[in-house]
Amino acid sequence: MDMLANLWLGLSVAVTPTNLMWCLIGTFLGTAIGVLPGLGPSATIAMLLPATFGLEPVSALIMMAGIFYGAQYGGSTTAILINLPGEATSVVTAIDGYKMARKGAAGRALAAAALSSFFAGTVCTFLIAFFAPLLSEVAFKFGPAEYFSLMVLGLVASVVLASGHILHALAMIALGLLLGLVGTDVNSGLQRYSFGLPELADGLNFVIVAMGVFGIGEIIANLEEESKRDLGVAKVEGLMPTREDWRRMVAPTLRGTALGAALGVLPGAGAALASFGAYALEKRVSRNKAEIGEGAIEGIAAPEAANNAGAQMSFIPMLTLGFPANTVMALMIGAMIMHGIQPGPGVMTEQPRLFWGLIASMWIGNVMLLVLNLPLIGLWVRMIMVPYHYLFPMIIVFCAIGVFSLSNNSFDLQIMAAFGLLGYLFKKLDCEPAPMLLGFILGPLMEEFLRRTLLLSEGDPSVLLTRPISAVLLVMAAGILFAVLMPAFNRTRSEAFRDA
Amino acid sequence: MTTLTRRDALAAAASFAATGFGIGLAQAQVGTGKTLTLMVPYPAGGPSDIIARNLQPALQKVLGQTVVVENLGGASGGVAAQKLLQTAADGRMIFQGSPNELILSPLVNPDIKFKPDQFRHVTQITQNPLILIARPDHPANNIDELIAYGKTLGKPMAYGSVGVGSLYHILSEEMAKQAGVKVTHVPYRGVAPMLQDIASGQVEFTIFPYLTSYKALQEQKKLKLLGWISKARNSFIPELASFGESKVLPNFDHSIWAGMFVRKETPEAIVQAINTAMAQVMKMPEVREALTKIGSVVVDTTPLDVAQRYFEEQVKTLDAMTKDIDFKI
Repeated sequence: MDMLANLWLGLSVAVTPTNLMWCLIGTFLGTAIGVLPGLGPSATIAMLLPATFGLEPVSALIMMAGIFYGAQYGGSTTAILINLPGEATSVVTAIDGYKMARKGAAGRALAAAALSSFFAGTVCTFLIAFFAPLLSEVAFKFGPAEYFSLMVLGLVASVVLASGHILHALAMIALGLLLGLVGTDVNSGLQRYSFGLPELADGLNFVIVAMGVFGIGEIIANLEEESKRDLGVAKVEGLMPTREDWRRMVAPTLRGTALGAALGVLPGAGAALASFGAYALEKRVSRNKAEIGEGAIEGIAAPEAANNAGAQMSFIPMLTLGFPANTVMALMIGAMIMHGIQPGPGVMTEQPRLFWGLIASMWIGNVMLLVLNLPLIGLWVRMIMVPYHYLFPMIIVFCAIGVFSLSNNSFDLQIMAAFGLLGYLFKKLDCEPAPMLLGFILGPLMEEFLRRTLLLSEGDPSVLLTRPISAVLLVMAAGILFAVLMPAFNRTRSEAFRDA
Repeated sequence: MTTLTRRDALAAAASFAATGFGIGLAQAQVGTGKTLTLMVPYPAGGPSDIIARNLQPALQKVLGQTVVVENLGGASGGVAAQKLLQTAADGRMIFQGSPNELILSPLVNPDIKFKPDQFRHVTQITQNPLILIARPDHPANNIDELIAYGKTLGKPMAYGSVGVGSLYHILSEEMAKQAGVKVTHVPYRGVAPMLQDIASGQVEFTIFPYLTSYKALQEQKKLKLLGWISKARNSFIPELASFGESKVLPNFDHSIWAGMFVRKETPEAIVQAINTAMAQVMKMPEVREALTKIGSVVVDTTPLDVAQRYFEEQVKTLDAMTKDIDFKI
């Protein structure tokens, strides 16, 4: 009953007109920056931070949280409409979403993304309310060995991301791993592939790579072929999901939510894996797995549910312990400090209005997002029917603004341009960029965790198999590798023989 | 993806120390109406940015000039420091920095081409006390017991830090050397994963600036505080013993600090004007209160010669400590 009393307290805080207004401002702003390619929630929140000095702490946090999960919603919009994922979590959404959009089903794809996100957000808000302290303990069962094995599993499972030739996918993953090495080596402090440029010391930023490869690269390729330019004008079918869509969305949304919630509890590394993992899972277990990768609604619902679940769950370590799971959470901790609140385990007991008010506002915010987004779908769909010669300069400008806002450094723009050319080359070579981005994200993490595991075990790799969680994850990875690769290689070989 | 980068980590850790503001420059030399830049060498939102944003309005008031906070991240503050060196030496860009960017960064990263003596230390702003922290179930209760534990362990003690070449890495090595105990350095990409692995007991200990959440985290058995790394106890947690009370390292006394810097070539009158303006800013009760809330100790501004001597001493101390550490593992 305590819990209900707490939730009631939270609701009473969250529905005051002031807080409702800040929640609306936050979610609206979040959606907007999510839609604008390149502008991310961390840059936005950082810029707004000083402006929140005058607000009540709970209002400030409600607004910031709204920006964060609002951006998760908005980010899928550009991924689906113009194949431009602004966050790691929407990379896989772009695969099927963009294909659906090109078939004229952009409205249904956007609706699927919004609905599955809403479902995941609601479930996770309640999980946080009831089990936050318990769930925060889960993360402590994961040491470097477990994280490494989880990454291996994620990378292996995602080989299925390859929609074309398996060799292309493997090459792209390898390229991604190499790009991920750029910058300071965590373990030795050495500079790798930085060519003496201090700007590369922190490595390549995901947003810059994604804007270049997807945004700029796609534009060059589109401009080349006049016939393809007006990509959105395929006749737009209904904007809302059909009965068939609803039926096909249920199971993937549930699976995506579960996976996202489970992985989202793990700080830092978990959220990135959630959407890739959910997509890979659908490709194995969905009844319509053959269609996934060709514009199937399952390929949107599952990763969108997973990334929203993951985003929501990343509040847990911040709220219960004051440990930031990502940059946005670090900014929220900064905001608490500025308002004189000590982040940490004391927040729940000493600031119950803030703690429960924030949680209740997340659910309200998710409702607002749905209400905000569904009617807007028609507007978004019309946006991609803007003639391409108006649309592409706008995309480039927003990409540039977004990239520049990361660290106010014009060098980043040059890197984006270079990746734009690379992205065009990938198109020409028929190489999917999604596996590269996965390698780019997971590669450095895997290296870091493996080397940390070995440092702690004094160089003995057997800990990977003697720690039970790690062993189970590795066995699963081996099983998937076997199941996925054997038929694929057999097929390739038989094709090769046939050609000969 | 949303992992905290090494930059964020160092920013968070170091920057509890790093305060910088741009200060107004001498009206006489720069002329009123000219905008001054307070350069923060980390992305917006981090602790050093928070300090800068608290100082900015006060500085603006004292100088009667517009002060803009600029955030330029990269290379643990090295990119911003290099930008300062590329601007005119007219005092219009004031760098809010700490030993992490200006002294340690060039020692560790061969791509950083500047040297600490290219900067002029105008004044110190804040100081942050350091604490020795152990995993929550550690048998030791203070530094003496930790060293004794390390000597009987039979293998090197694993300790974490927020990065190779961070002050906390260097101090941990120095501490182990002075106490005669073997340690293994396990570097992390920042504060959050570091605390996470202390809480789950992966590493034995770490050195970290004081954060206001430590007491509650200790009560929740997420970490164990072993002592202030200073001669005397600190009033933030008065019941916690200090290294000064220990048998093995009674003279081990360190902290992380932040201050304002300009290019060395800046005319003396302008440097003096910034120093004077900062002295006024740091006396304002609202500034002192805001900085204390963040967990920093506000330091009284010192005359220019004292500031410069202090900076040179720090360079010497850290240079000596890093001599014995091989960064190229």
